[in-house]
Amino acid sequence: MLEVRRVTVDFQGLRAVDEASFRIEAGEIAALIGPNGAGKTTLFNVVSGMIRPTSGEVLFEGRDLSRLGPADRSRMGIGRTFQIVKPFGGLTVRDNVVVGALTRGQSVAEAHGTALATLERLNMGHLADARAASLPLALRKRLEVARALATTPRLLLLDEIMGGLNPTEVNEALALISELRQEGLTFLIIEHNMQAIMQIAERVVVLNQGCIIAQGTPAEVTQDRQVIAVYLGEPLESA
Amino acid sequence: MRFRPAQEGWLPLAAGLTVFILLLLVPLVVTDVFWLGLGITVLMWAALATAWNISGGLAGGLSLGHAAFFGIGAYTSTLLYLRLDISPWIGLFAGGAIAGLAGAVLGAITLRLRGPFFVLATLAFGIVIHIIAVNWRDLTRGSAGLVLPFGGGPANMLFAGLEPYWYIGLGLLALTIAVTLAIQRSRLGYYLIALREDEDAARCLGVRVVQCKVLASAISAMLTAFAGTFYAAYIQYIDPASTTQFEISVQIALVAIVGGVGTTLGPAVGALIVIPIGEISRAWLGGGPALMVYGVLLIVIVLAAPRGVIGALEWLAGRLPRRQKASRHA
Ligand SMILES: Nc1ncnc2c1ncn2[C@@H]1O[C@H](COP(=O)(O)OP(=O)(O)OP(=O)(O)O)[C@@H](O)[C@H]1O
Ligand SMILES: [Mg+2]
Repeated sequence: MLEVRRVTVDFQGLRAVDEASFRIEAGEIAALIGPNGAGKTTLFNVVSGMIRPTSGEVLFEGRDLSRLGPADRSRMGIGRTFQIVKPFGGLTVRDNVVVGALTRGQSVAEAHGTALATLERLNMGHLADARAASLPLALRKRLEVARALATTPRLLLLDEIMGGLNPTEVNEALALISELRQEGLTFLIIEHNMQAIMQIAERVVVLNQGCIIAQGTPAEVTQDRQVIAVYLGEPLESA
Repeated sequence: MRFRPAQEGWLPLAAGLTVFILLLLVPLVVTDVFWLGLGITVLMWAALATAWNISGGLAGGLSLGHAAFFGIGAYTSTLLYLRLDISPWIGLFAGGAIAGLAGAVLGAITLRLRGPFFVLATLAFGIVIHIIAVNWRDLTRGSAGLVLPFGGGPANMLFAGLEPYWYIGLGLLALTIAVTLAIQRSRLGYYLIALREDEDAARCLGVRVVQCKVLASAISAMLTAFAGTFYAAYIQYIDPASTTQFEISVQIALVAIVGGVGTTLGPAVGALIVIPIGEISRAWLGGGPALMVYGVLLIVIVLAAPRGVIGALEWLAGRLPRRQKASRHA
């Protein structure tokens, strides 16, 4: 479904991503992990069209995305959340989500319905009329997910949505992701919460200093010497 | 104080209609030429500032070039009438179309510009149009200006009395406010607000920046040109100093800012305050002193209500209930 081919990103002398290549198959839950500053978010920015890679290309369902901006990629079915949340602060929670639904050709009235349904699904229905700026961080992260879901993506990129959540909330998030996968959504998830992500990921890509140092099943990756050395520290006891 | 997607409701609609009907009755009560003339000028500036607000408030770029669109409207309808005997009623739409096109081009050019760079680009655009108006003498007669012949009749938007201009001006203002409300309730309104709140997030949700900003700029320019045609028909004389001059651009933005940028009715309220201060002080004090009084009063207003009059009212409204609650607890 998604193919990243030898993508390199340079920021004035700093190589944030270095010849990264990987594929994600339709219906899969893939995890993108690695230490801080590894280039994970930068890779998301390349896939979603926010930045142009120095070299390399991204293919979505076989189509080269190089010439497309973020709006067109979103309309093709790539949704994303932002690690540094970007709510439309002056708008209500509902209107935030309405924007996502509107770009899928719904009328304003339909989009309001979709927004409410999406919020209900994320247990945020009661917050529909609150100003987005008034939400605490954990809820703003959930709003990121709601907004992206309202665009009915086929591939959803989630950037550290579980940071700061309590164990119950983490389990809710995991359950929702599994449920959405059942409905046909494909995921690429950046997460530092290894316990959580290893429960649902079927494929793991490990990034370190811009390079992909390992990819495979959670079992393979967690046994990988290099991954343990640079990121995991010690082998994970399986969750 | 900023545009939010409009809330539905019959109460604002009923209130709006009531005000509109009351305004329809004004010429029956106000018969004095000075005051009715002042009222018509207020209506025109209210329409101008409301039109400006569609790009300045909704799309979020402070334009100092809107006199260009005003001038395009005034000159297009006037030249079509003088040269080709085409009624200004038709020239109105021709001017709107040309200005809309110019607005779209300007919107596309200034799309990626931020803050002062955006302002400078619109300012430069305004100056270019002004220079054309002054120097293309074969077409515009330069600073000598163009006179609309007396007695053109209603079919040419030229009337003997003031009353018809009051009604046309009122219609113009109602149109600009209706367009503003319609945009706020539409897909375009949501997109513009989303882009202004966070452009990156909006784009990643599928909002197309170019389309939205170009469209908003074109609509704003078109409505501004309508006011230009109206001005030409009302004053029956136009020259670059009264249409394309930089000061006109400043005043359009100023009226909107005093009233409240980004609010639906702020620009109209701004005109109701700024224009009478300017006109009355000019009538009573004359030239120099009037300008000083006008300037000082504007400074006072902007200092007292930095978010505009509507912003200040909203702030007050937000404080009142809290104060009541606090006193109940005390
Ligand atoms: N716009 C930018 N300009 C310059 N350098 C940048 C930019 N964005 C990211 N970087 C740098 O690129 C590197 C990779 O950053 P990135 O945000 O992709 O890391 P990350 O893997 O998402 O880290 P984290 O887990 O902390 O979120 C870092 O060194 C960062 O400082
Ligand atoms: Mg990151």
